[in-house]
Amino acid sequence: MDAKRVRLQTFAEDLDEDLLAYVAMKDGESSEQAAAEFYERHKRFLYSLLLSGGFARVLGGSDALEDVVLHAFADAFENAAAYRPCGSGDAVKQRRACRNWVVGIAKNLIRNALCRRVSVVAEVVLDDSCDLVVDAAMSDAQQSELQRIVGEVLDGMSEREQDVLRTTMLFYKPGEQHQRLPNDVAKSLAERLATTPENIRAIRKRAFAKLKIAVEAKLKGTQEGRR
Amino acid sequence: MTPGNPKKKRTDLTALVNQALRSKGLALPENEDEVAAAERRIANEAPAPLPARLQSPWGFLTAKGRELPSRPPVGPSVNDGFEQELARAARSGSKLTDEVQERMRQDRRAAESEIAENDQED
Repeated sequence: MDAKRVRLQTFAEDLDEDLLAYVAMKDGESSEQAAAEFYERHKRFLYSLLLSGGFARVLGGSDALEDVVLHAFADAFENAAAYRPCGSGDAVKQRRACRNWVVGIAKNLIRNALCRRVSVVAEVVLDDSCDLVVDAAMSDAQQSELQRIVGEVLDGMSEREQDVLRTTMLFYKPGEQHQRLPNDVAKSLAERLATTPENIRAIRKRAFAKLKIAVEAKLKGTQEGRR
Repeated sequence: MTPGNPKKKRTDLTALVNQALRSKGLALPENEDEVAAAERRIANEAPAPLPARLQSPWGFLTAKGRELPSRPPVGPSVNDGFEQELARAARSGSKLTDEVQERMRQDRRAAESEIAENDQED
């Protein structure tokens, strides 16, 4: 172990994408040491990101969250050859590109972990075709204001509602009118919240209705204040 | 544009909620700009201690070639309300309710009697 620690120093000056290139070579100990250096640089970020995002609760505990961190890096190293370099020699840009890639792997692991708990494969349709009517010529500033308002309303929601929204958003597909949630995920979430999958759908529906009313009221207030 | 009013348009609330969750760190970043925002947010938080399993630089080797273990979902704790009250009091520095104080006394008595029982068994 000490010998490995000493050798780890030799990769300390390498950029993140170079480390992944060494890992992709699958060159025994040397690749393993490059992997260890990469892991040391990014594990705290991934762990903190998942922890502060409340994913221990989504996954069912801190052990499960640690499993995701370990497996995300193990999978990243196994598939290092699939990483597409960001095309920049800048260390910060490379760091963010690499972290974005590892976060994507972690997200897939979380989805799979949630899907695996119950073996029935089907989907629950989440009927929340919930559009807001806003000014057609909305400026960027107004768009950011709208996002801020949505965030504010989310803050006021119960932990249960936030939990349902957070978990269902892991399966969000942009542009689809009816979002879907794998049946087993709905069951697993229902089990965690001591309720039924039907109620999960109802909680989400109510949360969206609440959001819509609150956001429209705030928008109306903002527009009237401007007049 | 909406059919009735050309000055209005429809915007997808689901997409807005998704963006809001991401900007709050409650959903995972989806691009490098969001990773940068997450880095800034994490830097401003008190650093969480790294669990023992993640401390070794070689920890990832324990997961190599293995499937992610399947862990059963954890239901809400029967102590959820109690714990939330404690967390709220800790955050705001406010006084605990009589009910919570009584619950703390009960827990303490239970823990003490458990220790005493264990001592007798030894």
